[in-house]
Amino acid sequence: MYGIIVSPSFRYALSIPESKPKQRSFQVVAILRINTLALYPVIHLISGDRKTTSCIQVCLPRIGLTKGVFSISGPDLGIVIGQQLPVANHLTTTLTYFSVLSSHRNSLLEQKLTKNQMVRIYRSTDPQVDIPRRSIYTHVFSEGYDLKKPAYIDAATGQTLTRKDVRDLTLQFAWSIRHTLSQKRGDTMAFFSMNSIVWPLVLLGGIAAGLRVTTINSSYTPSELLHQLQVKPQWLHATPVINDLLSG
Amino acid sequence: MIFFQDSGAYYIFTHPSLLNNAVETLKLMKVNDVDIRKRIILAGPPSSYSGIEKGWLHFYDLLGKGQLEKEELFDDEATNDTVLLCYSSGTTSKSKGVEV
Repeated sequence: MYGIIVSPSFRYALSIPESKPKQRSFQVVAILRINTLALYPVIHLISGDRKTTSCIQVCLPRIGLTKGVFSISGPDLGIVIGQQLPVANHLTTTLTYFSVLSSHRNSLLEQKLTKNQMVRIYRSTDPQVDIPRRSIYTHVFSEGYDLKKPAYIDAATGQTLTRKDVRDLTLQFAWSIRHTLSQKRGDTMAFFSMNSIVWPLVLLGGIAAGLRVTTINSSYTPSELLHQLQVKPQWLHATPVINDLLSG
Repeated sequence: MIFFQDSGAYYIFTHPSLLNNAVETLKLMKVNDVDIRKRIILAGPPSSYSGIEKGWLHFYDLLGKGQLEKEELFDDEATNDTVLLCYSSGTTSKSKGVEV
């Protein structure tokens, strides 16, 4: 048996009471954190003996932006498992497929899981929330908000970008991506940088232009970077997929 | 669900301090020098520049030329399109790609 514990900042958002994991005697602890580059949550599994063994990706059915901060809520915590999964003392049950797990799709679950592949579904106590069916860029910039308010402040220099600045600059960048760089909707651009005030502009500009953005860890060496530029993605994390599974 | 041979990126936007790594990577991919100059675009705040960036295209060069009236829309069914290709080694081994 394994379970999850979320980091304190997300416990509330996931509606998992602090006391609950203990009551359920979880033997494997996972720590949920938001991957700042990727904008998706990552669970690192730690086995009972506390050795870090593997990592699974967690699909949270409800992710939204509220006042610039990621908030997470929703009824079910789906889990996408993409590689080796430690189960209690027996390590490594290899899952070679990807599956989206949901209590609403137990049949799907049974089809895809063998007996050794243990799964738990954790239900949130929050009510159902509709996922907006639109781009994250549209979602962020289409709501009524004060254009004059600062969106990003560079701590090093104090340079401030207002929300209007961010929208204008990203749409200008997007224009050049389409017209100067001749990229089209669905093309991929790579982004290899540590954090800076330019970072969100590049990411949002790429999304505004309709591109797929692959973010690269800035500590990668050329050979690791090469791997990312050449290797095939193995996992899928897609909130709308969960939505379809739940409603479909 | 997964259809890519690789992340397939043509342009690489990179922080000036990582320029060398980006260049070395494209060399490993047997990209010639002319194309390397084309494919790498620098993207960092003004404070990140040290002089090595001369002769490279920069993020700021791509601003102010025009402005899309509206972003590319991904409504309804199109919300299933991929927007991010994230890679993480997940503690062990080589990095794995995740489509978001």
